[in-house]
Amino acid sequence: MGLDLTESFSQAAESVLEKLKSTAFARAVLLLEKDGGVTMSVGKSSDLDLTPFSVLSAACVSAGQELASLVGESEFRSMVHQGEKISVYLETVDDHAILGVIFDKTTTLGLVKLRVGKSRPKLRLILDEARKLHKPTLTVGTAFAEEARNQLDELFGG
Amino acid sequence: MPFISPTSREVSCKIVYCGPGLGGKTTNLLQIRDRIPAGSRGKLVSLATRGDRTLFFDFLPMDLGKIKGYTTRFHLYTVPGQVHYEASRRLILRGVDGVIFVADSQRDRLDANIESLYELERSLDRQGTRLAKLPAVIQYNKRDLEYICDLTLMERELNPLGFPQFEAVAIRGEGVVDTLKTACKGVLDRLA
Repeated sequence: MGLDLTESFSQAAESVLEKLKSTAFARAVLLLEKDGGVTMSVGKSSDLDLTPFSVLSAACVSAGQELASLVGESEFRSMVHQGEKISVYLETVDDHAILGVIFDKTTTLGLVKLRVGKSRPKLRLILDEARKLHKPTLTVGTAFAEEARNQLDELFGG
Repeated sequence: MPFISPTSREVSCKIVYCGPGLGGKTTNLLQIRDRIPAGSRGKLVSLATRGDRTLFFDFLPMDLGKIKGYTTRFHLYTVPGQVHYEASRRLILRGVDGVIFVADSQRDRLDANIESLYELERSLDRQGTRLAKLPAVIQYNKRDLEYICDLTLMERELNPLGFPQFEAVAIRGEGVVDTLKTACKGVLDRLA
């Protein structure tokens, strides 16, 4: 699950998200994993429960993928959930990542799409490079596992 | 494989409840939610039909807090049991770290259990994972009902790989925590 971005890749991706947020006049921009994880977010997302947001966004994109294959398309790259005040625009970045933009009436869907279109190739490059160099950490040590086991017992009352 | 981020000091593991439709997967998750202190669990997300059948999945994040400096979380999912939801099942099983198979002990559900287990193995195979290689737990649910299968028979049909197994009455919360703890510990052992 997920990609552990090193500091330099993280900063590069964050700067793309920040620029997207400001030029699209969005409330928040999120970089999400297709398996439901959150890679990073910028903007006004403090009042948002990011974990279910990310899981549900990933589910929407997955459902869209299946719909696409039913009508003979290789993918539906983007989808929009339009609300009265707040809307959400989702677009796949590559095979693993999704870009989510939360926006309100201060901007338009057209502008959001346009700005995402400009940001997407930059993000792809950053993520491609990060994945090439990424060596997943497989273990955290026996002390971690032992403490986690104890914590689990404690969580359920021994 | 669990997500371990030395950069953001985070460990995330994914456990998926599988099994035949109406076997008690969502009930397991609801019981777990009610047994975890509010500060250690997130919002339960349930994508169900009006008849309360799981349409896509249920999701419950469970937070173990900071362990050796790592924020440690388990993400618990259920998948729809009905055979025709294969696509949803495949999506949820992507990146799974541990499996809980909730079997329905009722005699007339034995074939459904076997078919569901076969479907699970097929879905995992398609993503290059083998059930035998995963930490897995079998839960024999609904042990309180009258017309249920003998445990020996269920073990023979559903657990040839010898996974840890528990008898349960999920609706009363019996066996639910032991099942989950065993699955989580199986995943944690792989991190050592």
